[in-house]
Amino acid sequence: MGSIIIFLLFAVSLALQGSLLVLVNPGGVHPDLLLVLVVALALLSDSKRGALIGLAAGLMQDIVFGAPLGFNAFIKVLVGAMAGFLAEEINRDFVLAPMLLVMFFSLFNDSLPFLLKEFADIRQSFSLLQYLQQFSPGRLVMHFFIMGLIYPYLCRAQKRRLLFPQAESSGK
Amino acid sequence: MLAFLIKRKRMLTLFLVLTLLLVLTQRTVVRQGITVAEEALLTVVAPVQGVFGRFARSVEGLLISVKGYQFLVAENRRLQDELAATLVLEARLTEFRHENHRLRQMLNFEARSEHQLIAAEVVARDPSGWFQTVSINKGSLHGVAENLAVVTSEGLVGSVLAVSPVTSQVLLLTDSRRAVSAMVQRSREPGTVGVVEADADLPGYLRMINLPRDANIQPGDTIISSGLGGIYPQGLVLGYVLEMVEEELGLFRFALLRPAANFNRLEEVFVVVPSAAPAQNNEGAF
Repeated sequence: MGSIIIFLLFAVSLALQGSLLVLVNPGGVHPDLLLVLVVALALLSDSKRGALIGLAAGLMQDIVFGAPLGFNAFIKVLVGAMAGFLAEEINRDFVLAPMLLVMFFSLFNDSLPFLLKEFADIRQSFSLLQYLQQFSPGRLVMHFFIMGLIYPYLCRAQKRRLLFPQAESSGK
Repeated sequence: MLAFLIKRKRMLTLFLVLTLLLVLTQRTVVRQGITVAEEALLTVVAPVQGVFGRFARSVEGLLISVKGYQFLVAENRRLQDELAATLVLEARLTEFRHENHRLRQMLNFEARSEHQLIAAEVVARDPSGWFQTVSINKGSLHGVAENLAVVTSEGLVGSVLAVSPVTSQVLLLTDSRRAVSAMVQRSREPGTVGVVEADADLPGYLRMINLPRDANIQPGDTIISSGLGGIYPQGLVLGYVLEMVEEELGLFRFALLRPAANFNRLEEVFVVVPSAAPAQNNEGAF
């Protein structure tokens, strides 16, 4: 049941991300809904599940948007694993912690593609500094508020054990 | 050692997964075909994308209508005038076509087969900015195949990257993984055949590289596909020359191009199906 809900969440996020959210682009900045979901879900579980969620979300993103297979998966596995690692350190009922953490992971999510593109020998359209200056501040703010909107619902769903039936329902 | 590995099993697994993903990324920079699992996922996500895509366009259309009512009225009047002029031209064109057909028959020429166009709607685009791809609502069930050219009324947009039964992904010209063999429409000299690719320094622009220093090309020239390589039919407009730039070593020049198609507002596109089966080669694959 949990896996189906998570898959549906990812599918709807991907569809929203590629269509409706493209309209919400102040200064050409688009939110990465999938990243917010991965961080939120990983913070509600643990590092192992976080990595698996990141893997699934990243692969889906690669497939749906035609990126090299593994490109987004690599980034989101790392994000999921790190966020899951922090899951035990935060109070899951306190929404500000995920809101702040998602800003850190957004910065990470924006920086890593440069290394990956270098590794895969794909030409870069921006320098890392240019990209971070132009796009990251806006995205960080967007992700902060999106996390504030969706995290309470996901937290409530997890308390009913709808997302991860075997996981503990509350952290610290 | 074994005890250490068992203790660090989780870290080791993560490291292995990451290594595998890195290798996978490098090997699939330009994908050749999609797997059954990918096809299934695209088939599931495509209808949802279609619904959201249409909704997004309605919202966008509504916002534009509200913002620019006066502009729309003026544009509507201008378009009606243009339509009237076009109808006259079309009538003349039909006459010329009939005459051409009749003359060809008289000379016993075979009529040149025209390309078939499949109209498609853009339902989603990759918002990340790392890759320039869009999803369209037509797939293999509608006759779309990999590597077919995709155009708008303005010019070439890109080519089909991956196909599932009901949806396809289009790799845009502005993606750094794509390059097209091209030539200058005015001169059509074989010596000025170059390669058009995304400009890494100016996102959204193109550059035509490998041009000899004495190439007959100047600002304002129209650049069209040369047809070499077999993926893109000859004569599709790619863009217009903005300026000529000397390369660092001075052996070649490159031309900075403004793309013919507006990549920021892609709503409806056409997939070009050649009369003969498309040749399978690696034009544009890096």
